[in-house]
Amino acid sequence: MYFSGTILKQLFPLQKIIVSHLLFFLSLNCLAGDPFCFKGSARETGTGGICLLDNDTWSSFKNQAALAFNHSINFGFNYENRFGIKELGTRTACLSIPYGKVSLGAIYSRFGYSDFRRELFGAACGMTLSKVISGGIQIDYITEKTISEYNNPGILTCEAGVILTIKENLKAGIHLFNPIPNSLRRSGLISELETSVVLKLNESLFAAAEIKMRMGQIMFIKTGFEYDAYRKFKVRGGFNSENNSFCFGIGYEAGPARIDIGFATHEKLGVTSSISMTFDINSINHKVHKDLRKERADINLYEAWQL
Amino acid sequence: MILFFVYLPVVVFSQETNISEKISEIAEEIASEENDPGSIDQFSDLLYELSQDPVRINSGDESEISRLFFLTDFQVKILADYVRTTGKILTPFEIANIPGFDRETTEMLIPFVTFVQINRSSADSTGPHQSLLSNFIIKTSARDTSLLGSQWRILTKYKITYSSISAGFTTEKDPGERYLSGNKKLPDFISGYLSFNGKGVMKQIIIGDFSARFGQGTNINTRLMGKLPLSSTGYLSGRNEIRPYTSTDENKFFRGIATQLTYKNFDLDLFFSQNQIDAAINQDPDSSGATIRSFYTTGLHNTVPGLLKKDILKESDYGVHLSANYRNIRSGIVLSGTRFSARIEPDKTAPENLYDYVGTKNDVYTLYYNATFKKSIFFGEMSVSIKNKIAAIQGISFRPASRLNLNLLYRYYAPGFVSFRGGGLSQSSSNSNEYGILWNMTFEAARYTFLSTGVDLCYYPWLRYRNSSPSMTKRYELRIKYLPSQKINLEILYSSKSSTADGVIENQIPSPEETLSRSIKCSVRYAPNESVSFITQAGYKIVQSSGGAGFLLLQDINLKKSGLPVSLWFRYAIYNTASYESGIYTWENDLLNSFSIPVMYGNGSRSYLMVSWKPSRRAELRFKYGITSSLDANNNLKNSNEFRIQAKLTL
Repeated sequence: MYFSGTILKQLFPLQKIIVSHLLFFLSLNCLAGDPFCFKGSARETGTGGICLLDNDTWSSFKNQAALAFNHSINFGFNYENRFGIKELGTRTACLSIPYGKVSLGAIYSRFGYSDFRRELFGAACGMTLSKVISGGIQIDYITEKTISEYNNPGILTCEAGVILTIKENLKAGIHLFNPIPNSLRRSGLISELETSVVLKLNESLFAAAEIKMRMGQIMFIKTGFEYDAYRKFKVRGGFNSENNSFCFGIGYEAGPARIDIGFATHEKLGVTSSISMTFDINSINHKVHKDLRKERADINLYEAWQL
Repeated sequence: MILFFVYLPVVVFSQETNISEKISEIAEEIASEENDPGSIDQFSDLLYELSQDPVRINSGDESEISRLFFLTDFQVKILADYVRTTGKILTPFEIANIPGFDRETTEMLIPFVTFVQINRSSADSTGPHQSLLSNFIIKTSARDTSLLGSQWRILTKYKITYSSISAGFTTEKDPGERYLSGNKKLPDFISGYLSFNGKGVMKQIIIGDFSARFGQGTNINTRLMGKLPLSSTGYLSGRNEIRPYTSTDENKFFRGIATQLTYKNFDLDLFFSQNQIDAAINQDPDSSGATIRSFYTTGLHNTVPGLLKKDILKESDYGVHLSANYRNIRSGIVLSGTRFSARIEPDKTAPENLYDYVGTKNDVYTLYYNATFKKSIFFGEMSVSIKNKIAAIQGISFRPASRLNLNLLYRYYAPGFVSFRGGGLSQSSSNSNEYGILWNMTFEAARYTFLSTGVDLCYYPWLRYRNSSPSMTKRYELRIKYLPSQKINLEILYSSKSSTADGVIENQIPSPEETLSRSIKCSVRYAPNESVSFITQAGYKIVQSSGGAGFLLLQDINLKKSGLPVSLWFRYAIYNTASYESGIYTWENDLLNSFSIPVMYGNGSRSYLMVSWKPSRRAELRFKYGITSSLDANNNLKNSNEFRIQAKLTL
């Protein structure tokens, strides 16, 4: 105990330095770094940051075209803690609603703490354009608040995605964040381009690879997998060449709810952990109806017995 | 030119888009090797011309088939003979089985040929065909007050064809040049021609501006560059032709009269040209009279010093070419001469300029041959210029199996060999001070999988720019293509180039320092249907000892809905390179008869949207808007915009 307490005391100033540095660079201007666009839920964290392009609500905000595969009302919450530093935490909530041929989504994400806060509000829409092509778009409003007087004004931007269902078990995705020319607004914002391929190797195994490039940085490669290990229990793993990050995670489905936990290492700064919960309203309704039907049948049976 | 063979056709979603992409791809390859916009422009012109008026392959007429300029004379002859002896060709893949053709060459032909029998005379009898094309291009940048004119680039091309007669003109104004102002009130560049194509002894006569190419091009080749391809799959042997000049290189063409006569197995070409070209004058007061320091080949006359170089030197050229066919052998001689109105006297104080040409005239004599022997083609050429300096080419193209093609080429250009209007196969554009050996191979390794590879070793026996000692370059290339269906095309290209340049100076002697540049490019095309195609490309380049690394990721989306007169092309690219040397060339879809191959270097993004609108069958309008955003050292974003508009009218 004494030993670990000493280490903590020694690490604490180091932690403060890291936080100060990270926040300093983040608050310099909007070009300085991430996260501006949504980085993904615990599921994505566990698979190396890749988007599996399926009907997962969280995937829909990594690539908006995935909304097209969403046929039920979903909502979820996610908390990500970077490097065990609570000041670098991100809280996210999302909602997706199918509406006719399209599917709508909304996301709110908040990064930072009281002295430095970055918030993202996003409204998304996705739909199936043809048998092969699905597309989606999201309008984002990003604000940044610091204790200093140099608060950045809100930035309005958009992101868009396309998913190509090449074969039943093969999908490709393209995602572009912030294609709006910076000449059209006062504050600059970096752009990102991602292309991904997802292969369903069998009924229980997904494998995916993604190439990502962010303006001002080199290209990253991500790979990951998701495996249905036992009934509704999933195991995930991945690698992200940005910071040589090894990732792993687990997920469990319990009726209409799903819980995911993900971890990603950083070659210098430590481990990022993430937890998310997702709820499928249709499944809840389905269960409620099922219970009601069962209850009604019991009542009928009881009444029949009384008679 | 032979780079054409490098590329397999991929039927993406429409023939037009396919052609556009193909031309751009070839142009990108050329641009990455050498900044020769004139050649690329000429190349794209020719391909667009062919796509507009496809070759009627079943006519069996050699002159008609020879419009496929990328085929060798032998291939043209073999194809014409095949049609004459066996009848109509029904499918393009029938061509692949003809000796001298392979699958790749055949697939390359597809967009440019038609198998329908159209009687040209009846088609022509309806009246003259006219086409007018105008381009307007502007890039936003800080206004340079030293420029003489506006920032617009304006290009106009007009062509009229009636029966066997055709005529046309081209005018161009580069950014910053005067347009319909100044003393002459004319565009900066004007070119025109009148051409007659006959069926008898007189095969062709051109008055005005024309280009020519004979044999391997070491003597005369103003048509297309002789740049050596690495993973070429076609035959390297040359061909003979004269053609009207319709491109915008302001110096690389002939102006006068040219004729092509044919009688039985003999062809005779004669031409005479007198043209004013750009040059820089020596300022040395001691020299007797005005002498020329160097040729000025950029074609830019947008500043006073640039304007002073315009058309100050008179160049006169003549040429005679005689060739004969005997069974599977074709041989020919070329005699040409060049005369200048002023003495060429470059600065020869630097040792690397020791062999530079000095004088007012030059003559070149050439002998060449082509011969087929079973599955091999042998070809060679030797030219002698002033002071008995020699250029020689010897090659063999061998096809031991239907899925395997091998090429071997040796070339030698002596230091001091001069051919002002030549362009033989070589690494450098000067056709001098170089010898080397090239080997390449194409192999259909498995079903849908094509592998091509090439090695080129090039030696420079005398000094050259930034090389104070004899030097060499080595190039390697490996290309893998996987074409599982017409919807998907995957390609990986690895290339490596090492060259030397002066490094650290020790004891007043610079030691050679090697620069190794390696790059890998992966691209995937996916066209789920005829209306849309997606292209993703990732590039990585590393330049050792000077330039650092470069990355590029781009995404293209092309849309063309059948029945709608509108097509869309969208691109978004992000790049990050450590220096200009590690910059990555990428082709862009562009206006018709035009090309754009920007080099992406620094940190930034490049996006564009191009729209084509065809209000009628005879008219087309294209708009292109591009934005390049780049990050400076302080992470500040800088944007530059570009706007292009084009109108094309066909009557």
